[in-house]
Amino acid sequence: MSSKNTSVAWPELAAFVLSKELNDGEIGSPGGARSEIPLAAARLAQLTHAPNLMIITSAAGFVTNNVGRPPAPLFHSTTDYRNIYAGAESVLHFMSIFRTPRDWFFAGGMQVDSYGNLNMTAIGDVKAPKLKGPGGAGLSYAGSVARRYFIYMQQHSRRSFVNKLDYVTAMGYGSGPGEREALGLVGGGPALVFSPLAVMDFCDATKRLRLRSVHPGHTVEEVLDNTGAEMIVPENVPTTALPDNDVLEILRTQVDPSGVLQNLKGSRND
Amino acid sequence: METRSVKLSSVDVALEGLEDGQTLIIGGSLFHNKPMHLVREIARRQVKDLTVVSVPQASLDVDLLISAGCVAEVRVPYMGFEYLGLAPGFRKAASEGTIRVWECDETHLLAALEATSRKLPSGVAKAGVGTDLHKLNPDLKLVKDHITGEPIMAVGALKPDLAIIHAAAGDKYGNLRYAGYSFGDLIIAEATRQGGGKIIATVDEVMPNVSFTSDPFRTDISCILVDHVIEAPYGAYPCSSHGNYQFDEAAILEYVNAAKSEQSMRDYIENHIMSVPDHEAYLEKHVKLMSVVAARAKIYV
Repeated sequence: MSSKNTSVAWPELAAFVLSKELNDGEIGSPGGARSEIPLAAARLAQLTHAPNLMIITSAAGFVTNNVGRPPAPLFHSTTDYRNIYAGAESVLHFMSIFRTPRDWFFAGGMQVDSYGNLNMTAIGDVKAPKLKGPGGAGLSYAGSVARRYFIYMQQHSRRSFVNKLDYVTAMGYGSGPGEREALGLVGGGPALVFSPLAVMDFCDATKRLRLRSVHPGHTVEEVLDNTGAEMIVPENVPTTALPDNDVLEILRTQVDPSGVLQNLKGSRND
Repeated sequence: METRSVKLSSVDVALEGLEDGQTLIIGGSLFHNKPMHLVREIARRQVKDLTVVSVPQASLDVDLLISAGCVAEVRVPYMGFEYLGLAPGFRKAASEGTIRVWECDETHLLAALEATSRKLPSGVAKAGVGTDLHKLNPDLKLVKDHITGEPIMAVGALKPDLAIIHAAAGDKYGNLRYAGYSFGDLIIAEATRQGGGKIIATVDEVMPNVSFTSDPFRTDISCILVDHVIEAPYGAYPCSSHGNYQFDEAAILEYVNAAKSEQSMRDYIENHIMSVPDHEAYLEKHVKLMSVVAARAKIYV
């Protein structure tokens, strides 16, 4: 393992950054098309600072806690049966998946805009789309009930960060402050966006996307060049902190002992 | 004394009444508990214009039916191959406009099924409020809650004509037991029964009735909800029978790769469906002993 941490792969950095957003005692569900990342984030949180955090693998209802257990492999899919070995203590009935409270969910999308609204429906006219997306999944449900949710994008580009979505599949902050409340959406909305280039959050007053940190090896200019959505850029944008050696060791020996995150195929920006 | 009816059926008997234009609902989720044997049998019969429903997630099952030309409309909240990519047949058909897509959230389909199972005309969900989903799907209506006036999404009850599901084990009367998760199969069977449709289950293994009476708490789906049981060892292959054997990633990728050209997809369908008369022939032709041994062994870590 590199002591300088320069070889931290972006999915590992994602797991680390997102793990810090999860608090002790919370209940949440990792999801999205690259569910390895949020699943690793939640397990890392359990093993570092949140031993009472409970993970519900949404699509299969496994309620898990990995604290004090031998390392379990990280699998590509949260619906994989073998997640049962990662400290599953109970299994929710299928309909209970939709009746159990969550402090957080994770979401991905083909497009995200300045207010954290997401498109999973289609790029281009839905009747003859350039790219047909997989559909709404449970994103809109998750966004309507969870206390907050985290968006992770596998690609940071002008095509994925846009000012106007082709379709709104899941509502973030709509067109600004007060819109969620007006529609009776009890969940708090999106809290953070992670991309292979940067970490972004949302300004409290305007609910607009705001650059929070830029990953090592990348610059603010590069992020802006690749962002089609309006984004608040503070005067000082720090570099995304890397995990220290202790946390990296937990990540690589206990959360993801076979190096799934290090070898994740898929889009990235370098 | 009268004898009790046995529901063990051949595929031909179970699929009697299958017609163009029907609504087919498929159990399992993503790569798991997909009744692939029945999917192939339906595709081989070249049924047309099906409305295909699956919740929460579909992959190879629905995509194969689309590629085989059986589908007019897709009602699936998540249609894709998760970490293995987007669904190729679905993408192609949607972009060419040869299928209709019923855009939705998971909770819309579940509300529609729950409504049918409770003999209600419609169901509601909070999801979708603030989105474009109801502008794209005429069956979703943005309404005001009758009590509070709060905006909610209403959806009509959905009545499938036919449900196909896969369990690890069953008995001759139709009781079913899963080795792992049963996903939405129970609500699917309930809604299909209450809506007047037919439920067919494939099972990896038929067990004696005593293995259910000895521990009825371990029966996941009652025989009341099942019309036909078909014994089909590895009947979910190449998908998993959750907790019984893992999915075969290489075999699923073989399909994904076949979708790269129209000719290779035609060859795939000919090779895997049209030229294969029954399940035994499929197992013999397409399932290597070592791959199912590995799929079983992989259950344990």
